[in-house]
Amino acid sequence: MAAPAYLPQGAQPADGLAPRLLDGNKAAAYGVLLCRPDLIAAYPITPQTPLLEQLYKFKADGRLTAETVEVEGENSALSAALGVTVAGGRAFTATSSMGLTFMYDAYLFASGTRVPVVMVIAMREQTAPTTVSCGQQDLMMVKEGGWVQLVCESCQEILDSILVAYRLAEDPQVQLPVNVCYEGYYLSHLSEPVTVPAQEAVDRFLLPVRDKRRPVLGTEHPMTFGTYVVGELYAEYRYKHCQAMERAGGMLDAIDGEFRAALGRPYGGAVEAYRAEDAEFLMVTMGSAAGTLKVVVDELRKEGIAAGLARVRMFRPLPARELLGLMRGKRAVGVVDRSVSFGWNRGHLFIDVKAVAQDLEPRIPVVSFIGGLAGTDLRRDLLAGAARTTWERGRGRAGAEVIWLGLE
Amino acid sequence: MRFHSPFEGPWADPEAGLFSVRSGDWRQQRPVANGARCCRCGLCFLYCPTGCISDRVTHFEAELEFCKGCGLCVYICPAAAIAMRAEEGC
Repeated sequence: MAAPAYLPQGAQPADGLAPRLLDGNKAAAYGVLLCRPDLIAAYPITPQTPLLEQLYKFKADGRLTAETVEVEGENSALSAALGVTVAGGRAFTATSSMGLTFMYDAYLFASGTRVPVVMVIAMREQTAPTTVSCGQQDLMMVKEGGWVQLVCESCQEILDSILVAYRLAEDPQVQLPVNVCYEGYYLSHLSEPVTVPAQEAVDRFLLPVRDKRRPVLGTEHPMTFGTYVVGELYAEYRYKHCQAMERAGGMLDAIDGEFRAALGRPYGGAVEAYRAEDAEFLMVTMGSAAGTLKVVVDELRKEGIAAGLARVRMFRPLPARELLGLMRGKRAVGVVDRSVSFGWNRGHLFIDVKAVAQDLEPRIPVVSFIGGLAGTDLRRDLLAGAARTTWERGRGRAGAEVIWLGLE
Repeated sequence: MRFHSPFEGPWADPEAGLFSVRSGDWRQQRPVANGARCCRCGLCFLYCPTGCISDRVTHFEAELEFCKGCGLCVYICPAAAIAMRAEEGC
């Protein structure tokens, strides 16, 4: 039986379970439920709120045994989650946009103190101009914060990424906080068929991190977490943090294999390649617009234009080696961003891809496409135009390095 | 790589020593106690900001790994039993 279209390429429906219709927030809530957390501390903010509502419903129904803490703000939410995590528990929180801004110091404490907490970012634009619409700008404000950041394309991937996030965060080789990011509304509020895995399968998948082999806060062996550090010791912890990031990059591929074995769905590791191998040029993006770009790639292929797509699943650490491998031999690369870097005046992912492309010989054109800001649709015609422009650049046509889709 | 800490992050373990900052590195002068003048009031012990002073029975003595050389013990001593002496090279 061929896999249904909503499942990743090559996937088989796992466990014989029928998919149910879930939006991204509900899918995330099921993922959290299945990971058996000890604490949920979060503050509601659009578009993350329904995720919390679903978790509280699980709690009210007696399905979720986690402590829930009603905090007075996001800073406390993440701080409570950090406390439980350093004490050896498993904690969860979630936020969006200005809530993320409000927890920024706790956010940096989490990564610098190497606390393996998991947090959803239901991605939204940052103020100002004030809006509650979809964008990836909130994630971009924390991209250098030292967390591992996974970006999802579908509601199924949201559920699955929560499981992967705990497996990755709590691995002694990683010991880093992990964000699971998905776009507000396009993913958080729109429903798709999602297979909810069996509890036993998830328990089996998380078995390697069940025993929490890490130093924890406790009375038997008291320890301090978050000491004051100066001088060489500071550099040492920064070095170790970077090394852990390197390991996290490699480990996602291995965990992807474990996930496929346990739950039947492969995602392709840190970067999903779609018809990329024999492509003449490559489009790169992350998040929900990748689905539309796959349709665009298929349509261009029917016209005889060899388009390909690389979807970045792991934004931090950046899978530079994988991206370089996929770009090698291509004539041009087009990067679609739902965010803006002020000063560079390009998209954020574009900057990364352009930096990686410096290692290509010969150099190829890399074009930044900015679109979909504040919840506007990255429509098929806009993305097809971006792909055609990239194709033309590869064939020698000159043009601007940044193009605002829908504005010009 | 030469590592100073056995841990992955800024954590500390009482067995290895809870201090991760050797504040004695900052010191430009060190306190020297005169046991003959010490009245054993213990004020230096109580006031030391780094808590590095130990009771040696005849006098009180600063642990130089953590004494930052602030001189507060000299200021607080009612018996003028402590003097600051410049560290060499300062």
